[in-house]
Amino acid sequence: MAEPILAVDLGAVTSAAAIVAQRRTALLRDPFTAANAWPSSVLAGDAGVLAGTAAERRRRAEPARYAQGPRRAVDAQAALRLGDRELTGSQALTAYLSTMAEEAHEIYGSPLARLVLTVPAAYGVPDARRDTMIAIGEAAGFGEVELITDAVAAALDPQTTRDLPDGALVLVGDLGATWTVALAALDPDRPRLLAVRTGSGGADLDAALFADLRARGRSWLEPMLATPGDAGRRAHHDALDLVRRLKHRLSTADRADDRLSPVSPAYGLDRAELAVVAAGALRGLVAGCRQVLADAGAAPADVAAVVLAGGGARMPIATAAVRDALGQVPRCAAEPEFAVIRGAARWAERTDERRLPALAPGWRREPVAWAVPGGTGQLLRWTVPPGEVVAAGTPLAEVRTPDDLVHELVAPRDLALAGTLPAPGARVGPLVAVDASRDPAALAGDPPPLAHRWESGEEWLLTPDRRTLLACGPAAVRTLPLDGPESAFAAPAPGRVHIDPDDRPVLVCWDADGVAVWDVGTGKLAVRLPDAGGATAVLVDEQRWRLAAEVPGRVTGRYRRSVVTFWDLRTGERLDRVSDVAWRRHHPGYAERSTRDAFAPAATHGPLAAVASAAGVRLTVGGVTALDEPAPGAAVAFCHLGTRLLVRSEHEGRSRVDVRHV
Amino acid sequence: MSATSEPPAARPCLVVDLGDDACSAALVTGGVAHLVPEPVSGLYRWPSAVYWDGRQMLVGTLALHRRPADPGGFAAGFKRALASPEAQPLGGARFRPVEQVAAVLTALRLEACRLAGEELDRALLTVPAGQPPGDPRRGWLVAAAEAAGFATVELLPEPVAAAHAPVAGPGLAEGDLVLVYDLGHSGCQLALVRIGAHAPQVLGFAEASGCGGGDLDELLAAGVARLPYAARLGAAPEWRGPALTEFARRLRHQLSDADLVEDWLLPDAPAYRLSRAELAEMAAPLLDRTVHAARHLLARLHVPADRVATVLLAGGGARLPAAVDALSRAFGRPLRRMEDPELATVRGAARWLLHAAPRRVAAAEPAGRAVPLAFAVPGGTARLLRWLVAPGGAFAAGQALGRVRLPDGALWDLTAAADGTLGPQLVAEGAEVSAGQWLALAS
Repeated sequence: MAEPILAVDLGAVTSAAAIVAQRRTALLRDPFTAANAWPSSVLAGDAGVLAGTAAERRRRAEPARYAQGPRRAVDAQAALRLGDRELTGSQALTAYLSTMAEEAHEIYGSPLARLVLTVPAAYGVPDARRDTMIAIGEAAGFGEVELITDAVAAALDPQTTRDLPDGALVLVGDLGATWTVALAALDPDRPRLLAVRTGSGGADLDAALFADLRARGRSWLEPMLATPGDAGRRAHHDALDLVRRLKHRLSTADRADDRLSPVSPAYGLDRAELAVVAAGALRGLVAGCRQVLADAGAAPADVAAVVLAGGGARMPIATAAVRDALGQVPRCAAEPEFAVIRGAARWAERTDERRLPALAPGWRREPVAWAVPGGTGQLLRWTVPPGEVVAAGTPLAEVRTPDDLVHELVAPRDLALAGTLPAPGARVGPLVAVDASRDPAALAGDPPPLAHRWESGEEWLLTPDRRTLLACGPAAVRTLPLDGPESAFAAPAPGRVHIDPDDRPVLVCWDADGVAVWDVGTGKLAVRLPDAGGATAVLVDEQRWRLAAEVPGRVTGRYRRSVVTFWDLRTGERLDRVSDVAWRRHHPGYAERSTRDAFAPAATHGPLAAVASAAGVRLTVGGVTALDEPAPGAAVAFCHLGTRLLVRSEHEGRSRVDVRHV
Repeated sequence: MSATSEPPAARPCLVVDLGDDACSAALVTGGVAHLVPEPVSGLYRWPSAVYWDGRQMLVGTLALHRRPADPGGFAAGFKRALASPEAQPLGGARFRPVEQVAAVLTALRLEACRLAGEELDRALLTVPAGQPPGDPRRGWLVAAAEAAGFATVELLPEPVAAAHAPVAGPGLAEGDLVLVYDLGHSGCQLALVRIGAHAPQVLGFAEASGCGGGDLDELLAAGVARLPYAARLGAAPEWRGPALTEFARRLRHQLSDADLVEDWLLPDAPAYRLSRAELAEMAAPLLDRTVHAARHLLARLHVPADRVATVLLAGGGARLPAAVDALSRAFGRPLRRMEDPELATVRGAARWLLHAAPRRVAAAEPAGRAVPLAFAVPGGTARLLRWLVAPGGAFAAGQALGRVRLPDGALWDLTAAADGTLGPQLVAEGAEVSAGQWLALAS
């Protein structure tokens, strides 16, 4: 990872940030309080917008100009009225992010140009609010702004999910001011949000606790709240702080008491009272979990882990409610309110994994490009269909330039257009580049590059559909689809690979207990022939799908006459038993090795022709030799699409397959 | 691979000067231009008129012939309203101006096909200089031509076309600056050209609209309409306007080679007399506007009037003595009139087509083997944020070449699969890109 990154999680009550550099993460502390949590507060001061603790410290003096959770203004796409000022959510968040960026600069020693910013899971894709958040990051001075959904970040929290395999499903309950339940798939380079439900659980809980405080402290609190002007606002803020404080303390204690002010009566809560107040929010949480699973078409058993994050995850009643509903103990980090920032930082650490290598260009293709006169134009039509060979100088397309003249794009050499062409009517310029066939003379001097080389101790076999390579070893069958991941089928006993009449590879293995035929693709037993035990040779007629098992017979004179039993592999039925020294000659369809191997001495596909001989392998394109190389014992094939040449040869006792994109 | 054939020769093309009043066409094939005569009149000027007889659209002289009997089915001057989507009533049906223009172009194409003995699918149409690129009327004109059966339609500014028209008499000297003054029916097209070895080089062009021969006819007609006996035309209101305009045009044409003309609006009405001086007085404000536009063009091109070697007159207005006088007074430069000035635009356009540089774009030649850069963008689409390597810059395998943002806000780097040099970028920063799309070429 080349550049340092600032990761920021903007919450409704608190926010957090982390500096990620050299794959290490350090949480950015609030410079005023040295805490990892930054108050999500802004205050429109006379000299500008104050953010974080600076805003909190002026809150009591200017409560009308104070706001908590400015991101909610972006969520709602509304403005903040702060006293006599009006701030857009973008302005408030830009000021807030700038404060964090300055502190990160101070700590890191140089400006951080890249930002990873969390956004609520409620933001869709696409969503104008994502663009707004990117613009906010850019306005705060970051050149590169990357977004990650907060629920996905929570699912990536290394403290809770580092042990999970790629692709694991994680059910996340992010219990902040809003309670979000989401199902995420931890795909290796691109974790995905599969389903999400958002409710106002946290805010509702705070509101319910606030209402309880007002009811129980009516005599002393109501007059304070009803005081006009800033005094009433101060009382309101303080009361809200009081109930949040008590709620947090109940995560570690059975009971919590505190006062609004030194002269106010004490107000207390215990866990039972909290459970009563929180019952509605918890029912919503549980319902959300079930709905999210239903939305994604998943069952609780499919979920690898349930993770609770956010400040609400500290409430034991929340953990218990989810456990009881899903039958799985939720994972909860020690500081769940930082789960999202830790996950976002983990995402930032893996920046260098989000790299796309350029696709390999076609060997027989080459771009042809024209500069549109004047820079831009409108493609009117292609005058030659793709695939048709035309002479140099032939007009291939017409382009109308803004001055309404029509220009012809002419072929620079003999060629055929290929691939996808820009559609008629499309705006083109300053260059029009299309795929075209390459000059055959150029192919002769530039043989197709070797794309893959596979070796095996056993001879490779290519399935008749020319999609899969197989190598049957003593312990396993290596299955190598040309367009998919390699797999192995553990052989229950030594055997050989054959191809059944439906073109499926099967493993025919035998021992003293009999012959068993296994479907390599599914790993299931196709048929078992218990009476064929002790065979010294097993041959298969792949056309008629029959098997011959040869067992040594008794000695007659100078000969030992073997006994051969024939089986129908479709039904497992024994067909015949003979004792004939010349049975192989009389039944020529039976073979010890598969006769349906797609490798052959010669293969063709369109203008491509490959021939294997004692001298080696030669590939020609339209009669022009493009590849001529020695390859002992070679056989050739083209893949099912005709895009790859496969050459099988023997090297030092090993079977080798070379693949070239043609 | 072997080529199947030689590259095809240039396709025949129909060149059309579509005027408000009349149009003309030339068939350009095999390096030669042939004017297309109107089959009924045999003239090279086709009246820009249509008539709907309930089954088919008649065009040109045929339409004029049907007008006396059924003026409701007749229309002319529709080219001015080309950009209007409003359909106009015509013989019990309704037609948009673009459909009427398409009918005229169809008639021209069919007649040209008959002359050529082959199908024509390519057209070059001239447009006034007052319709610059982007003007919606250009789009409508292209649409009308496409509806008329032309697959490839090009537009050429009228002054550029007129500047290429042949000039009678001794040729102009190479390097001379020539002001082309094309006074047509509805305006004046102006061009300043430098005479070249093979074709003139157009330095600039302009238009003065609303001051053409048709506008002068309207002024004349308004004067005639004030005469007492003109009131008798009120008995046939649908005829009043056309009759007055036609009378005015006849007077103007007669004055091109006479000092005094006498004509009769109605057979039993008194004679109407008009002198060349009176016409010149009437035309003076209109001609002043053309002179002003010409001066403005010269000033814009920083060319003093005395550097203009010749003023070339084209269009029907070239026959107007008052125009000749006005230009002589204004510039004091020698004046020459083009051959067949009314056909100067179409003949010039045909010459432009034959002599202008072929509009064929050769492919760019890469230094080495060109390789397209395409990427399997997760999810299929992304926005290209920035290029990290400039065109011409060398890169190593694995190096980041560009950066994209996925729709969910994630940033991904586009990296090189092998060493190389970045060629031209096919996609600009900020553009949407898709999986497999060619973003740049490399070598």
